[in-house]
Amino acid sequence: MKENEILALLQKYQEGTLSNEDQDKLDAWYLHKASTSNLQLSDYELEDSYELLKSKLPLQAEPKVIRLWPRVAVAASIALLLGTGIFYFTKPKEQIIQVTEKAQEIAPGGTRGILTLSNGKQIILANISAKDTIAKEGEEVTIKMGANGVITYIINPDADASKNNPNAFNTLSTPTGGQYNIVLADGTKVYLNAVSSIKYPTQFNGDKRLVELEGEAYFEVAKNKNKPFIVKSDNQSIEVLGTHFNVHAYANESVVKTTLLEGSVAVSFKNQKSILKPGQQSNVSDNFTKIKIREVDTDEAIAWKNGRFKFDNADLKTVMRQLERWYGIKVEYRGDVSDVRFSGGTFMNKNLSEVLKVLELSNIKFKVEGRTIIVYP
Amino acid sequence: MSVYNKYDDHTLITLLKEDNQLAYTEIFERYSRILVNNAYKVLGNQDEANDIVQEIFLSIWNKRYELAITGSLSSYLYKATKNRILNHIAHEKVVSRYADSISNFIENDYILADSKIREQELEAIIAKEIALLPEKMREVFLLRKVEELSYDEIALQLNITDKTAKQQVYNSLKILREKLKSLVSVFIW
Repeated sequence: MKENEILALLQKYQEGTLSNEDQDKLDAWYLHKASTSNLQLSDYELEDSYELLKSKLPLQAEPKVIRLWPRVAVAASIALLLGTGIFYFTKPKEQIIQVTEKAQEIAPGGTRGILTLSNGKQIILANISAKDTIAKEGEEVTIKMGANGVITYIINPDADASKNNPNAFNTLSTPTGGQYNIVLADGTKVYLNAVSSIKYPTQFNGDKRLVELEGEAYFEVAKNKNKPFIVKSDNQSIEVLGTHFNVHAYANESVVKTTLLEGSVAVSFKNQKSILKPGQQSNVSDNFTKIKIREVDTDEAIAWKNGRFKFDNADLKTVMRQLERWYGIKVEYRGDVSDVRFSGGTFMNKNLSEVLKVLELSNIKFKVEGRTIIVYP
Repeated sequence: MSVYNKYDDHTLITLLKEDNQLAYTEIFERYSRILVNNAYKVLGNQDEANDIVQEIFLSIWNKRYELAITGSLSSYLYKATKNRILNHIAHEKVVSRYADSISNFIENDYILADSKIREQELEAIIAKEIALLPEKMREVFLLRKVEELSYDEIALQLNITDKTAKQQVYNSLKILREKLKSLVSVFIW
């Protein structure tokens, strides 16, 4: 085959006018080439490609604080250059300014979750409607969805309990902008906040009820004196017999907060253990030497469960991380905002612009660029 | 935002179609390196490989609402790489680099096959390239893939009907799951 014949073949390929056989020839050559090639990029070279692509694609990274330092350094060096009489001219980089007629509204989150069954299958819980069975775990456990989307685990009383698989775990998780409610096999109710996940057995067979949490959840634990209910998150564990409490344990928040509303819980962290009374909150962190306990406004801690943002002298960055989880936005800071604190509240079913209006009352300015929110003091 | 690396490919695509940028980022984290390496194998030029993969990921984001992925995400991405590379070679200046290789292959080694066979060859390449990933990355990658595919789906993808062959898939999947079980605690929890 001559070069021009190959070129003609490839051009037809581009136009999509190749016969099946010619198409197969090119596909076969490509696969042959890819599978017999000895070329291979080193890990180091691949890392270069990865970093380069990362800088060019519309990816969303963990929020970053923009530091003022480099700019101050540039200003200082320019001043120095001018001072020594050297004329230094730099053409400012052309700025791309996006003009939009009207800023796009950023909608709030809603009832959304992802259920991972013990066999690894994932079910997206977005179409909320009552169904008697959305999945089964063996013969014994049926997973049901209520009219409001709540997932309930129902144990079949006729099933042979000896055949239970003690290692059948499910995971419910929520993406950015999602909250989800679930009733576990023992009747315990769990309200899961955004960007969180909880791993639990499909039925509680042993001498304790153990679940693992990442992120934030409110628990209404069904009473069972013989089987303590244990919530593990990061390096903290909470033990209860039956009670109502909220656990706030996000990986990007430095402090794990447990707030008790009713009953009593024991919080363990490293080698320490503290008992909470209703109205108290424990704070643990790798930065603290011991568990801190304080009296709090419990309404604030569980406002999210009731569809409210409620802030009581909360610092700006904590507030903004909450908005990031609910609106899927990215927040950048220009300048020092460390002393800004908020008190007040609004509803979570509002568009972001309305929530920002409330926050602007505290002498802070926001600029919305796509899904990035820039905060100015 | 660590929950995203626990989602399987199918879940990520669904979230991507709903504008979820973190899901898009996770797809990039999962596939960017192996696609660059795959493109490099054919092109032999890292800059060109980077450009091809950049185009693929940009188009996934720009066309996220219309994305129609029928098979697995990995074979979709590999096919997109193949199409873009063939389009790239269709330029006069580039074709001369490949002319000998293409004509040799078509004249000597080519055997006509149906699309199912090609699909299997593609899957074999993907499996081989995953095997070349650095060890830890590969384990996590496989874990997600194994969790995502049921045995029936694999048999269907490989177009296996023979009973013994099916049993083999079943056995190897079982071994793989066992091996990966110990890793679950490390990587997932």
